[in-house]
Amino acid sequence: MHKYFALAALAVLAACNGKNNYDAPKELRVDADRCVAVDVDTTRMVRLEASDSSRLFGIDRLLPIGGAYVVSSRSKLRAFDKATGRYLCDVAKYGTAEQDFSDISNAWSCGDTIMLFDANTKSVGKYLADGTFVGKDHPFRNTQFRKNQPPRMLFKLADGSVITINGSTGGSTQRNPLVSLYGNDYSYRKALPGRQVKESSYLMDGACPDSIRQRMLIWEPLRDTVFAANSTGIRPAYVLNTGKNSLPAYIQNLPHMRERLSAFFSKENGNGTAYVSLIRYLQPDGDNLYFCLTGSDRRNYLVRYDTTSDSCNVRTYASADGRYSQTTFFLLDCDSLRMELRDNANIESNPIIYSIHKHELQ
Amino acid sequence: MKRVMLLLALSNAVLFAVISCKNEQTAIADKETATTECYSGGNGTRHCDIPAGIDINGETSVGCSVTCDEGYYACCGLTCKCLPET
Repeated sequence: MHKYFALAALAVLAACNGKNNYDAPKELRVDADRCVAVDVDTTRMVRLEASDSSRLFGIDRLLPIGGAYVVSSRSKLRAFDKATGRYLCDVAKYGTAEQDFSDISNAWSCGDTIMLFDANTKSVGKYLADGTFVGKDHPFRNTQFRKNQPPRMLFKLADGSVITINGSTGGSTQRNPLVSLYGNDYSYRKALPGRQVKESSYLMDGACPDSIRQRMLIWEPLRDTVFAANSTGIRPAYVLNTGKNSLPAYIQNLPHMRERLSAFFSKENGNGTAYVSLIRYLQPDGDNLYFCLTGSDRRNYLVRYDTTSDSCNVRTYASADGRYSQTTFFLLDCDSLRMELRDNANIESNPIIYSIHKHELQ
Repeated sequence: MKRVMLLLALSNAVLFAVISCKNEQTAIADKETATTECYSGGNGTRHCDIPAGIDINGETSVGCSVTCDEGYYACCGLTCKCLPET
């Protein structure tokens, strides 16, 4: 009897001492007090022309293509001259015609072609920057997605496979996986275990491919965890720690984004300091992570975090007179970083694209 | 005998709890159905969405969308949800 017990205990211990494939998430320590305030250089600004036919809200996506910036802003997809900001054309329009879209769920460039995924019609529209309609694909036509995994955003990975960030089924299905994997022919492979869709609200970002590490990075506004998704599942990859400016758990745990946003901007930390939190836009670049933070005092920050040395640079871009200030949008564009500024003296003006060199953030 | 009585009492308690829970859920669903106005969607609709367009802090635009399974309809307004079909 004792022999069998000993054998069983040994077996359990052996299982426990087996290889642990779980890597604990990496802590990203960011001290907003060490932020460098940068006075914007107006010569680096490209003001996007604002007229009745070219007006935009904030930048949701920016696609530099040739000599144009193609900007998606809510239901607008517009092209502007890269050098002058002059409005060129609407690349595509909201509507019901074949060449139109009903929603800009996700957009990316493939060479000179703009690819637009419309989650309502499950189609991928293809356009050139001068507004030429190239065609429209319906990739899920012959390979139906699962009803508890309706695609909301679509990403083509380097190996040709397809990842979807899924929309909410509003509690009408027992499970509602956040991420699904498809083959390069859009054949359904599987739902990635590890995270479910928790709410129906969303921001226009929330996911970004990390090609070097062959994974997707996924985050939620006003929550401190960045998840990594690959073919084996979804796991926490990074946890942001802003120290005394950290967002309390009771706000992070609010189930709906609007609740978290309202709580975030209506309250201050108990000791009078502002909350600083991840909200939107994050991009990996080799060993570096670039992301924006927002403060409950309406200040925004750009962070470059070196994940190997744990060094980081925190900057906030605003003009000394307060006229111009950065939003939480940015895009890595080769050796440059394109940031969105707004003109606080003119609320009807279009966004400003502000360029900095990546080496300035070292 | 005492054991039988205890078992009966326990079974009744569990049954009562289940029925109460179902009644509560029905009541909540009825309340939602009765009081919810759908900006888009409505009875018979499986999907609705509100494109990102509500600014919270002057720059962050929040959207919502929902796709509902059979037996539910989509209702989108300030939030997007699936409600039991009437």
